[in-house]
Amino acid sequence: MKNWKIGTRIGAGFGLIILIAIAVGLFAIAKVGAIQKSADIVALNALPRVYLVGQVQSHQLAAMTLLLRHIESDDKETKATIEQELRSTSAENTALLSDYEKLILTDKGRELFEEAKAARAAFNAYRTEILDVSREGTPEARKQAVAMVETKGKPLLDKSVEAQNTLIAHDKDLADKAAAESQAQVASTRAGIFICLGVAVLIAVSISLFVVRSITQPLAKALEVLENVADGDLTGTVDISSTDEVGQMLVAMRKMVENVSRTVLEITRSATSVASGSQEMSSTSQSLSQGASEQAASAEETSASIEEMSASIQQNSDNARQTDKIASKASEDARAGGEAVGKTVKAMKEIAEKVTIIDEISRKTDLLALNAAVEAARAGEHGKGFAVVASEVRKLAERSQTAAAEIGRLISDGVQLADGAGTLLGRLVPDIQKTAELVREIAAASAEQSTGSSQISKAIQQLDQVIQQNASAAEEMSTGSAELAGQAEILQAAISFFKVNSDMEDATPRLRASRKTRPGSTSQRGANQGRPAPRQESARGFAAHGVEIELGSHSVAADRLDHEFTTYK
Amino acid sequence: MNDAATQCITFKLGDELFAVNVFQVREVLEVSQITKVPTAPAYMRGVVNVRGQAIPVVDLRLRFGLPSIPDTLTTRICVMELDIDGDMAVIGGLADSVHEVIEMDPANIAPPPRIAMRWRSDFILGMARRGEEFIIVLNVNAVFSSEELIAIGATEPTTSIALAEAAVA
Repeated sequence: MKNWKIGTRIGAGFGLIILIAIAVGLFAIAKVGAIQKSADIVALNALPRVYLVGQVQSHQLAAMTLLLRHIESDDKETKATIEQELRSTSAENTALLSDYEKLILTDKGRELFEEAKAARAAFNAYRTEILDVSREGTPEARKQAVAMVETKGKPLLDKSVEAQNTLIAHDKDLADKAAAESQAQVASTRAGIFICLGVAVLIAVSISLFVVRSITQPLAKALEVLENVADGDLTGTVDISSTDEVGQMLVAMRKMVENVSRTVLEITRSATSVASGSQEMSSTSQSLSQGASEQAASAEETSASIEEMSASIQQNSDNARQTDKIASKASEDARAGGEAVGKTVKAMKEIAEKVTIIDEISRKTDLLALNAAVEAARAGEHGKGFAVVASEVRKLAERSQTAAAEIGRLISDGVQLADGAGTLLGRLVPDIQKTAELVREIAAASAEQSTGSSQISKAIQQLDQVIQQNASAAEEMSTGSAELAGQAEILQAAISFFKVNSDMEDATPRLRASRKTRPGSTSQRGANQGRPAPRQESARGFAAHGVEIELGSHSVAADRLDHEFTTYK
Repeated sequence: MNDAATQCITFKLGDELFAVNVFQVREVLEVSQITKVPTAPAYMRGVVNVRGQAIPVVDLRLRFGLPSIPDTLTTRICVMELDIDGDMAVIGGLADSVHEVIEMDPANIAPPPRIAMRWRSDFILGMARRGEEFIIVLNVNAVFSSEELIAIGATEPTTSIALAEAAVA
């Protein structure tokens, strides 16, 4: 039953109670019905019967009076009227009696009724007789009538009345019995109802106790767990003993505790890593800052170098332009030189030609001298002097030939040199032109370099700006990371409120080893920001700074208690 | 082998120095225009005009078994007078260079060695020594036979017409 839903349980309990109530009600209704019956007997039967008989009785007595009046009366009209009245009264009685007859319940009652009816009939019959007599109206009739009345009428009447009285007594008795019965029934009903109520109350109480306990016990357990959790103790285990709503709630709570534990662990881990990360970030930003300032310095140096480079490029450019001029002049000169060399070579060649002529002459002279020597030799003695002359001539020719050869050699050397010079000059010209071209290219390149270096200069300036921005950003990052570290500390302090199962923890150590003390837990919520809580103190036991009090509407941690404190600016 | 000192004119063919009796040399000429003769033998270069006279020019190198070389500046034509059976034949010989007239002491002229001679020994009268070098003394008369001389029309003094006739024949 403990696995029923609470609604079902309560419903069952209530249902049971309702059933009991219904039973009690039914019982009461039944009893009341019986009482009603008895009361009806009295009210609807006995009493009307008594009344009816009473009426009949009174009518009869009245009829007797009427009869006597009739007897007494002399007036025929009066007598007629009385007779009329008597008849109507009799009719009435008959009606009444017939009504009474409808109400007869018992045989005894019928018996008595018949007796009364018979008595009445007897009287009525005798009354009629009397009336007949009295109608005559004579005094003798009257006397007779009276005697009749006195002798038989009255006793008949008395008998009728007695019969009626008996009837009445019987009816009263009936009524009394019914009344007594109804009283008894009332008493029994009352008792019964009390008993039923008592039983019902017992049952209801026990049911309700049972149901309530079945609800409150698990709820109490749940409450305990919740209180533990509220105090930050996530290490408790949740026993689940039922599958009803409370059980489901406990299941959900267990899941909640697990999830919160996991979350707390994760948060702790994250807080730790955030703390360490923010420390790293702090140092990184410091080194960034340093690096940025170094960057700025080197950017300065680079800028200066660029300036120098620009200057030297400018110089290069100027030099190149000058060189270009010189090169074109040199080209011109080289060409002129080449022309001159050409002319020289031509002159030299002419000289060579002339020298060849000389050489030829000397050769021919030599030949002639040789021939002369031959002739002289053939002439014998006579030719000896001629031979001497011929040999001298030959020597001269030889000398001349040598000289011519030497000149020729010199000329050829010179021509060679000149040719070489000419070639060199000739080669020089394109080389110089090439140089001029290259120099022009250098000039162009220098111009480009110049623009490039000015661009670099601009870029360096921009870089400098960026570095400045970087430096300030690093500063901000440093501040931000310090703030982050502070926040991480706060986070860790806050999360240390929860104590979790060690088997769920991993090996990551917590930076804050603070423990929450239970007694102070209930008042923490509002007082955290208002005064230095013992929790915070214990949490910040390792911190260098003191206690942080957060007051003020702008603060994140502000709450409604803050306004109770007066701020002094 | 003359008795008195002879005067010879020396010329070179290749590396060898030759000498010819000066009486056998009329003159020395430079190589000028040599007119080729069509049906002439190989060793005949052609004819050269010397003062109106046509002198046949012979390549002595070929005659002596040396390969012919192109003419140089020192190439000379030795106009030689040959005595063939009492007739005088004028012929020009191409020499690589002509040097000088020297006096040759007959005592210095040694007979030519018989073994390993490049040329026919009847050409050579002997060998003389002058300082370091040896001079081969030539007997020009033996260099050319009479038939050859006629063939090349070297008899004296022929006119160009006769030469032409000889050439045609």
